[in-house]
Amino acid sequence: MAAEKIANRQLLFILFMMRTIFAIAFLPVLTTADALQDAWASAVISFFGAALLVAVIGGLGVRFPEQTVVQYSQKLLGRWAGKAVSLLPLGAFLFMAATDVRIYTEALTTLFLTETPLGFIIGTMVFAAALAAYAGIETIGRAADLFFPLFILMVFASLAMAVPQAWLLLHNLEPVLARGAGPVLRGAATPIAVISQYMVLTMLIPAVTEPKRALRTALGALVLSSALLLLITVFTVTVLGPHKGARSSYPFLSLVRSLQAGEFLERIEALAMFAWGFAHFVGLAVFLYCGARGLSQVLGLKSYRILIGPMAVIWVTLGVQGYRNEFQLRTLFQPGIAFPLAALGFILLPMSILWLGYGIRALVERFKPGGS
Amino acid sequence: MAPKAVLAYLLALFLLAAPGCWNRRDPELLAIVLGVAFDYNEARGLYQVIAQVANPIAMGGGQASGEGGGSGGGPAFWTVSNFGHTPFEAMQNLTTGTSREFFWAHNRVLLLSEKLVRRRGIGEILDLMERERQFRPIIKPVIVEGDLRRLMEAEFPLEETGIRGIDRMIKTTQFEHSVFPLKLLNEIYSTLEQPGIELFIGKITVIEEGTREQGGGGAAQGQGGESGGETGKTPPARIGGAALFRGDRMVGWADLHQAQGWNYATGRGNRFSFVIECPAHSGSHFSIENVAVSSAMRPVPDGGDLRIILEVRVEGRIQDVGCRLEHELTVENEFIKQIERTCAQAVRNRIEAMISRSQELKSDVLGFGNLVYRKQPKLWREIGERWDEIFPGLAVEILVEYNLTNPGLATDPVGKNR
Repeated sequence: MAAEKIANRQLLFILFMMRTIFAIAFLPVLTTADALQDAWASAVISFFGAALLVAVIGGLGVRFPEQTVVQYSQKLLGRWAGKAVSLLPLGAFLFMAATDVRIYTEALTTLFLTETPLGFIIGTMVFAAALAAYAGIETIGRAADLFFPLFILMVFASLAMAVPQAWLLLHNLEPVLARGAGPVLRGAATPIAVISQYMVLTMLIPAVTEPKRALRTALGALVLSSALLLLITVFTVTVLGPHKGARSSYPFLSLVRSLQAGEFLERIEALAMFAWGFAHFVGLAVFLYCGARGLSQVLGLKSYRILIGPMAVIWVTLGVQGYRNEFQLRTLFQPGIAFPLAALGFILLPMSILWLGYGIRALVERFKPGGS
Repeated sequence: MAPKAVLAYLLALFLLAAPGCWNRRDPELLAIVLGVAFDYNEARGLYQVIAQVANPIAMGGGQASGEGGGSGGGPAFWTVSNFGHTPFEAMQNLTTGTSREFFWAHNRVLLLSEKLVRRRGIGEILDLMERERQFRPIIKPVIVEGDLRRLMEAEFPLEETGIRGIDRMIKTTQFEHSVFPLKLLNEIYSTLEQPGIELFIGKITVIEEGTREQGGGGAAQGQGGESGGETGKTPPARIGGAALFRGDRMVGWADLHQAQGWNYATGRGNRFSFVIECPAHSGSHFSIENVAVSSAMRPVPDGGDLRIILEVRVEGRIQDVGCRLEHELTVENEFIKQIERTCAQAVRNRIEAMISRSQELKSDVLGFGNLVYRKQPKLWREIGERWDEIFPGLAVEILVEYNLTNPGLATDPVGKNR
C-alpha cells in the first residue's frame, strides 16, 4: 500500500487552525495574566518564543524526513530508550486533545447547550474525529482544505463587523506599555507553552509530500496564526475594554456577542462557534491520528487503525473525567502551570534528549576512526 | 473557483443555519422579553424587576388597534413584575405567575430607576448582564426619572410595543438631537473599569398623566391643538439628559444642554441643531444644523499645573434664516465668519456647562483623568490617588473651530431685495 501523503499546504492549514482555536477559545494572552491593554505585545512576543520551540520540534524531523519521532528516536537512542522517550509526546497528544475537547465543550454548554451532558458533546466530537483518523491523514488533510476557507471567512467576518466599534474605542489600548515588561512577558508565557500542540509535527513530517520544507511550513502556519491572534487581541481589547476582556470566560465570543452591523445583523456568535468547531475537529482528528500511529509504531503493529477505537474511548473518558469543573481547566492555563508542563515537559524534555542523542551521534560519526 | 465548488460551500453554510435541538424550546412555549427594568425597594432591601413581554395573541392578529387603556382588546405586550434579593432571583420569581418560560435574549433595553442607581448602584445588575448567557452586551441602558412601572406599561404612539417605542426613541434621538449619550452595555463595562472616567448614562423622563408637555429640550415645538382625543395623545416619556455617576452609583443629572456638551466634547454628536441670534440684529434668529463633529483632547502638564486642551471641530449648515434684513449669504464674507463665531460660542457654552456640572458633582464623565492615565501614565501614578481633589479645580481650555459648510438650497434670505 502506498504511503498516505498530505500536501504541505494542508499541513499549514492544519497547524494554523490548531493554534488559532486557542485565540478563539479563551485568548490566553489576555486572560491568563495581567497584560491587559498590552496583550497585543504579549501576542508578538509569544510568536518569537513559539517560533523558537517550533524550530526545536521540527529541526530533528527534517533531518529524518522519512521517519516519525518513534522511529528516529530508536535510531538515536537505541531501541528501548527511544521507545520510552517517544511515549512522552504520545501521552502529550492524549492529554492535549482531551483538554482541547473539554474547553470546546465547556464553551458550548455555557453558551448554547446548557442542559446537554458533557459526555454527549465530547463523545460526538471524538466520534467524528475518530472516523476522520480512521479514514487516514489524507482525509484529514482534505477536511482541512475544506474547513480552512470557512474558518477564515467566519473569523474575518466577525472581525470586520467589529471595526466601527473598535475605531470608536481605540483609546482602550492606552496607556501603551506603561507598566514595564513584566505583564507583557507573563501574558506571553501560556501562549508560548501551548505551542506544544505542534509536537504533532514530529509525527506528520514523513506524511507530507515535501518533508524537507515541513519546518518552513510550520513556521508559516505560526506566522499566520500569530497575525490573526494579534488582530483578535487588538479587537477584543478595544471593543470589550482591557478589564472586561480579561475577565471574560471566552473573550472572542464575548466580542462577537457585542457586535452589531446596522441594526439588523447581530447575534452572530454561532458563526464563531462553528469556526471554532471546524478547527477543533481537524485538530482533534490529527491528535488522534498521530497518537494512534505513534503507538502502533512503538508496539510494532502493522496498522494503526485498530488502536483508534480503544483510544477514542479513553479520550472521551479523559475529556469527561479529567477535569472536575471549568475552574480546574482554567487553573491549568495559569502561566505558572502551563509553562513548565507544556513548554518544558511536553516539548523540551523529550526534544532535548533527542537532540542530545543526535549531537553525540554526530560527534561520534565525525571522529570515528576510519571515517564512513 | 468553479461555480460548483462555490455552490457546495453555500450549501454547507445554509445547513448551518438549520440546527435542531434535542430539547426543543419552541417559540410558542416562550415568553419573549422585549425589555427589562429594575427598581429598588429600599424598605425591604429587594430588587424589583419589571419585564415587558411580547403578547403573541395581540401582536399577530389583524386589528391590534391602539385603543390603549390597559384592559380591553389588550395591547401587544404584557408587563409583569416581581421582587427578589438579587436581580436574578427577582427574574426567576417572575416565572411563578407565568405560563411560559421567559426568554431574555431578545431584550433590547435595560431601564434602571433613579432610586436604584442612586441608592444601590448598578454593579450587581451589570454583573448579572455579563454572566447570564441570554443577555447581550448590545443592550441599551437607560436611567429613568419618574414612575418606572408606568413607563413599562405605557403605549407609545406609532409603535406596537412600549419597549420598541423606547428603543426607537433612543435611536432616532441620536441622529436628530444628540441630547442622549448613546452607549451600549459593553462600553459601560469598559468605562466603569478604567481609572479617571465616570459613567454617563442617558435619561428618559416619564411624563405624568394629565400633564401636557410642550416639546422638549429648550427648542419649543409649539404643537397647537388643545383639543384632546386620540390623535393629540401625549407620548408617555421624553428622552434627553443623562445621569452622572461616581463609581457605580449615580450622583446627579445633567440637563439637555449639558448632555449636548458631552456629545460635542467626545465627538459623538451626529446631527443636531440649535438657534443662534443674528449676529447683526438682535431679536431675530437663525437655525443651524450641525452635521459633523470631531474632537480631540490632550493633557498639558505645565510643571505642576495640569491643563487639558479640548479641541472640537464642528461643521454645520443653515436651516432657516429668520432675519429679513440685508444679508449676503452668497460669497465668503465677514458676516458668515460672524455666524461661525456665534456658533462656536454656542458649542463652547454647552461644553462648559457640561464640565462645570461634572466638576460640581466630582464626576469626571468626560474622562480627563483617564486621558492623563492614557497619555501620561507616569504623571497619573503621582496624581491618580488625588484625582478627586484635583478634578474640581482642573483647567480645561476649549477650542472650537466652527465651519459653516453651506447655506442650504438658497443663498440670500427671502425678500431681501424688497
